[in-house]
Amino acid sequence: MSRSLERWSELKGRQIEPEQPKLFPAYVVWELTLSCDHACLHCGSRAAVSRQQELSPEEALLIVPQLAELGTREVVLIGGEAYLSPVFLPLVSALAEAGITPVMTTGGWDMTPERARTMAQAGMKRVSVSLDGLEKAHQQIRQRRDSFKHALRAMTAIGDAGMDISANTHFNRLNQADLEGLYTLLKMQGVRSWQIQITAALGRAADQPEMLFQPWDLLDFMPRVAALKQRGLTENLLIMPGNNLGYFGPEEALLRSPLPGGQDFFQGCQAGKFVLGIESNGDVKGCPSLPSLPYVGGNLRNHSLRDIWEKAAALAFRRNPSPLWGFCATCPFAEVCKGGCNFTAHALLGRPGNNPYCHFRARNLANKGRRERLLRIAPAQGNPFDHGLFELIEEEFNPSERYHSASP
Amino acid sequence: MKQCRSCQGFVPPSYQQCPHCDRMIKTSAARSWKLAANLFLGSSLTMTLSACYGTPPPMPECDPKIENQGACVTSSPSPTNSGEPSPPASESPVASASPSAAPTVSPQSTASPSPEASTKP
Repeated sequence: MSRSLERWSELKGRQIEPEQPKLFPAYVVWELTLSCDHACLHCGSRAAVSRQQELSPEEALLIVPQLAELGTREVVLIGGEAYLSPVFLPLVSALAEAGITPVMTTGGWDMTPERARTMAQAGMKRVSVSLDGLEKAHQQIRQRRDSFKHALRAMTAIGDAGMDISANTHFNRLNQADLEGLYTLLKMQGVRSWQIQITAALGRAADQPEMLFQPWDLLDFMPRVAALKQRGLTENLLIMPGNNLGYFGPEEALLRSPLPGGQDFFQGCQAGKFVLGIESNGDVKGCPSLPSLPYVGGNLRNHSLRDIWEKAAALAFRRNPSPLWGFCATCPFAEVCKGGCNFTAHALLGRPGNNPYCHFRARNLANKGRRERLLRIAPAQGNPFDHGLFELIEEEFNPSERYHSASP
Repeated sequence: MKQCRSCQGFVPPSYQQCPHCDRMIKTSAARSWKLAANLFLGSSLTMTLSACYGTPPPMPECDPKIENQGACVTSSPSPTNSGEPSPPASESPVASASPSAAPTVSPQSTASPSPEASTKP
C-alpha cells in the first residue's frame, strides 16, 4: 500500500462513531518508560527517571496480541522518551506485524538519522516532535540547552527516513505568543500535522501556576488557532486540537474537523470508551493523561487487558458519566460536551464535570462583564500525573482587557 | 447539531436563538427535508480521536480529480501525491460529523452543509 493510501486509512482509523454500541480501545497511548532526556517544566508525568518495576520487554510484547484482539487501530508510543526503552524497536515491529499502526511522540533529543532509519524499517509511520515554542520559550519549558536545535534536527531525520513528520505543542502563558511563528516554522520543516493543546495543571505544571492559561486567555487564543487551522487546510498542514482545547466557540466545526468543510464537534471525553492509556509499569487508565490514583483500572501483570477493559470501574467512568456541576451543568452544550476534558478539569478542581478552560464559557461570561480566575490553593504531592487544587473565582472583567489578556 | 448561518457556531437542538451571536434560528423546508431523509436512511456521526500525549492524525493528500474524498475537493493537492492513487470510497475518512444519509461519504452533502436560515430578532 502506498503511503498516500496509508494516510487515508490511518485517518479513517482515528475516526469513530461515538454512539456505536461496541466500545473498544481504538486509540492507545502507551508510556514505555518514564526515563527521559528532558525534564520539562510542564510534564504531567514528571518524567526524568524510570518508574519502579517498568514492564520488561517480554512482558510488553505479550500485550500486543491483546491489543489486536480488542481491535486497537493505532498505538502512540511515548515516555518519558520512548526510544530509551529497550522494548521500543521490537514493539514497533510487533505492532506493525499485528496490523496496528505504530506512531510516536518524542522530544527528539537523540533522534539521529540512524535511529530514524531503524525506526522506519521497523514499521514506524509517523513521529510527532514536541515543540513547545520558538527557541527561547521551548528551551525555557524543556529545561535543556540546545533542545530546540535537537528537535528541528529530529524533524529532518524523521522526514529523511520516510516517516511523516508531525508536531505537538502545549500552549500556555510562556509560549502563546509563538503560535503564529511556530506555524511558519513547522511549515518550513515539512510538518504535515500539528496537535495543539493547552498545558493542564498536572504533574510539574501544577507546580508552575503562573505558567497556566487563565480561562479568559481563550478569548484571544482560540480565534488565533482557528485562523491558522483555516490557513493550514489550504497549505497542507493539518492542525488538530487536543481534547483539552475547546469548546463550542463559533469556530468549533473548523477546529475539530480534519478536512475542509467538516462539521465535527467535540462529543465528550472518550477515555475508556475508545481511548486507552498504558503506564510503563503496566497500569491501565482510560486516557494517558488522567491522574493515576483514581483512574488506574488494573495492572497488566495481574490481569488481561480484556478483563481490565471490560470489568474495571475506573475505566468505565465515562461510560456512565458522573453529573456535571458548576457552569457545565447549566451549559446548553452539556448534553454533547459532557464537561470537556476530564483530566484537565480533575487536575484543577479535584473532580471532573466542571471545566473552566472552555471558550464558550469564557465568551458567555465576558459578554456579561465577568471572568473566572484560577487560584492555586493546594500544591501537588510531586508524583507522576498528580495534581494540586485550584479555586475558581468569578470576578468582574474589564472589556478592554478582553482580547489583550494573555500576559500574566 | 444545527449551525448558525450568521456566525457558523453550533446551536443546541432546543435553542431558537444562536447562543453565540443571538440571531434567531429558523428551520428551513430544505433542512426539514434533509433531517427527515437522514432519519429514514440512517445517520452517522463521527469524531476524530485524540489524546493530549498522543499525535495528530495524518494530513491526507487530496486529489480533486478523484471522487469520494469528502471535503478534500476544496483543498490543494499535496505536491507529494502525484502519481499515487487515491483510496476507494470505502477507504476515505468522512469529512463531517453532520448526519449523513449513507454510510459512504457524499462529498457535497457533507462538505457543504446547509446552515440554518437565520433572521435578526
